[in-house]
Amino acid sequence: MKRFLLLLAALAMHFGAWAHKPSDSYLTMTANGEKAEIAVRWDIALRDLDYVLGLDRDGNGDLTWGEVRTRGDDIVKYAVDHLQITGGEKACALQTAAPMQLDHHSDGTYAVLTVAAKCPSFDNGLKVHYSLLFDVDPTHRGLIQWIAPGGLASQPLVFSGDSAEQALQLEAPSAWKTLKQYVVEGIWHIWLGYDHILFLLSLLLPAVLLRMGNHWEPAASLKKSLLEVLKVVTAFTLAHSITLSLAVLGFVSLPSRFVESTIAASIIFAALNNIRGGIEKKRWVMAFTFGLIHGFGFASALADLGLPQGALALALVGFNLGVEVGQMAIVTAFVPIAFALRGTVFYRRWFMPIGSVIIAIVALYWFLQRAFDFQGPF
Amino acid sequence: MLKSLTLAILFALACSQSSAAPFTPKSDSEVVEKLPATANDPSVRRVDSLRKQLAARPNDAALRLEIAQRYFDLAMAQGDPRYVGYAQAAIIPLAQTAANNADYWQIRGMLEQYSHDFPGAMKSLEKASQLDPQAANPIAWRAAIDMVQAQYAEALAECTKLVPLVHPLFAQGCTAYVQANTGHLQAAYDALNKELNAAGDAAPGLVLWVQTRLGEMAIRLQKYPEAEAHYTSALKLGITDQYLLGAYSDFLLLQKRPAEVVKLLADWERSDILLLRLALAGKAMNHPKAADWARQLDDRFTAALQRGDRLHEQEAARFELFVQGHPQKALDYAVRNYGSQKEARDADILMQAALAANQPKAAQPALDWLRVNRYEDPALAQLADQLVAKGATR
Repeated sequence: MKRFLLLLAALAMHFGAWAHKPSDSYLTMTANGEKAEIAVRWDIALRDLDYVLGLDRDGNGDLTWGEVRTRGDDIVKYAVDHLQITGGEKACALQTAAPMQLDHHSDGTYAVLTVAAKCPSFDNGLKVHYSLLFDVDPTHRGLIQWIAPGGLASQPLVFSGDSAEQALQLEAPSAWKTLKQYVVEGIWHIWLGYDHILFLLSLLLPAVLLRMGNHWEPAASLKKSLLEVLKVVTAFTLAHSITLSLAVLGFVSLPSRFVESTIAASIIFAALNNIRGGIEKKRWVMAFTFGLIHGFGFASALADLGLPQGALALALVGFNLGVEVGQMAIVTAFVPIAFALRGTVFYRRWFMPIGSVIIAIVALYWFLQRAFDFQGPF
Repeated sequence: MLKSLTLAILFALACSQSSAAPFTPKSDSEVVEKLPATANDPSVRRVDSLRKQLAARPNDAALRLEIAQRYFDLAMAQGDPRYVGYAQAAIIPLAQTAANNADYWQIRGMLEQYSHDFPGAMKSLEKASQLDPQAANPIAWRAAIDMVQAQYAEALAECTKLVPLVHPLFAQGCTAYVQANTGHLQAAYDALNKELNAAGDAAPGLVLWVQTRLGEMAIRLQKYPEAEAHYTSALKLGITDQYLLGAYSDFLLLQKRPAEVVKLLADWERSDILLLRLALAGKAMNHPKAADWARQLDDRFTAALQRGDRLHEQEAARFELFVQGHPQKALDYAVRNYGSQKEARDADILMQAALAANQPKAAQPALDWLRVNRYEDPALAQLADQLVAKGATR
């Protein structure tokens, strides 16, 4: 019978239906460069500790806090025996820094150990040798978040039986560098994401004009035009900053197909409004409303870049700043030209309406592609 | 304005990260964890006592193999990967001493396939068959690995070897699976159905497996009432089987009956593959728990990604495409998954993700697989047509 069951298991193997998470322990190691110390928070599953140390003394399957607490010293000793940190080939002394506590993870309760590693110095490099549980469960992994001296962001390291010893990077990626990197990404995104440029242009085209009944008149002063531009750009910026932040922080999420289609639709709407009219005074309201949707588009672009754990805020602010810089570049290039040309028949009769029609056609094409999966010739 | 925005973001961030705080229980009698292996489970108790014996006899190869085998059975029954790890640990010391032990190579092969080391598993299973040609298990496992990798000629050869060694229904199931994938769907379905009706005495576990396979074939033949009948008679056997639950749920989703999926899988949130079906059904019917299921799955895939696991990429791809609406991420998963596994479900998600992401050429391997093997399935054929219309080649 047993052989037979195994046979069945064979033909069912690709079902790979693992109901549980595999065994992991989680370490957060924060370096203090001045004292050559590393503060370690180490979360180990009680289930794993029970397997190697037999914590369930009465064997009833229920682990009580008493059963865990009274074995605290054994637990710490077992853990510390399987973690060696060396600074310049010399061992760092591991000492308990706080009493053992517990914490809930998605797959059960973990013991939380707080340990301090006192190293002779950080000058000649740091190494970690991790060997917890590998002897009884080779599928176990040690997941370390390493925060280098002066670092804001943590670097993830995964320890397995094949990679039990790894060096710790002492140079933290500086906050400034992280910020700069994301500012650049933000600028690129505005310049390569034509849909944001077109939306902005649709809103800016009429900013140097005034609608009088059925036709357009040049705006009287630069001041009025700039005020109009400022209102539109500020509303757009504020709106997309809000949704970008909310989406990146995981408070709100929308399906990308909906977001991308709506962005295309927003361009059509803005462009057609330049021809047919309807919303003249409150263009900033339109900029704000659709800006909310564009923010979700920025968020998925940012998510595709990968977000640094621990420096999420920095990445978010940097990316947002970059988007604003890219946007300002477009505005400063476009507005003076438009203002200079605003009095010409060319601008009012040809450039603005025909430009708007072209923008609307391009956006319609995007909309069909995105909403209905339509694959055109381009 | 930017400054206040930054402050708002930082504040939100601080709030979202402050939830995970360690605690100290108030009293010693507080139960802090329920261990899955209770003392009442005889199979767990048995392997525990074997482990204690091992401490006294660490060089006993037979004992190590029995421990590994029992842990592997536990892993299969409970879907807990820790038991696979325990089994691996039990046989590691045998690598030098058990080179002539067929059982060692068989268990090693099974464990290697678990971690998707298919070439390693094939080598170990070959070795097991060399040492014991009459053993059915290594042959069945090789057939299964060949099937997953779409090596149908090789799989069929292994199925043929099984004929004199196993129950006729099992051998027929093995052969029918290959035939159904290589242009003989109707014949395979009829033959397996006939064999099932003839085999009155077959073990319930075997019947369940055959009924599940027949259900899948019936869907491809567009015999939906028959598919329903196969699945329900499998469920009536009263054996808990995650694959059956997953396959039947997929059928119900196809039939636009998500409410029944939510009912069927009520207690199965802990299983990744069934949680995916719950999330799909929840989304389809706007269930109040839909968002919670999606979040749980997201957490699990993120955790798997963190530790570098690649065991659930097919599910991750379906999740990204149908629950999260991220075609590009789905396609990345589906492409990686298709590198190691090439079953119909793997081809299906690859084609759907490629369509959604507007990258028809990414699905070329699946289209080739359909064509070369003459795989019959109207749903996949329709996907293939759409891909070809967008520039892939048939």
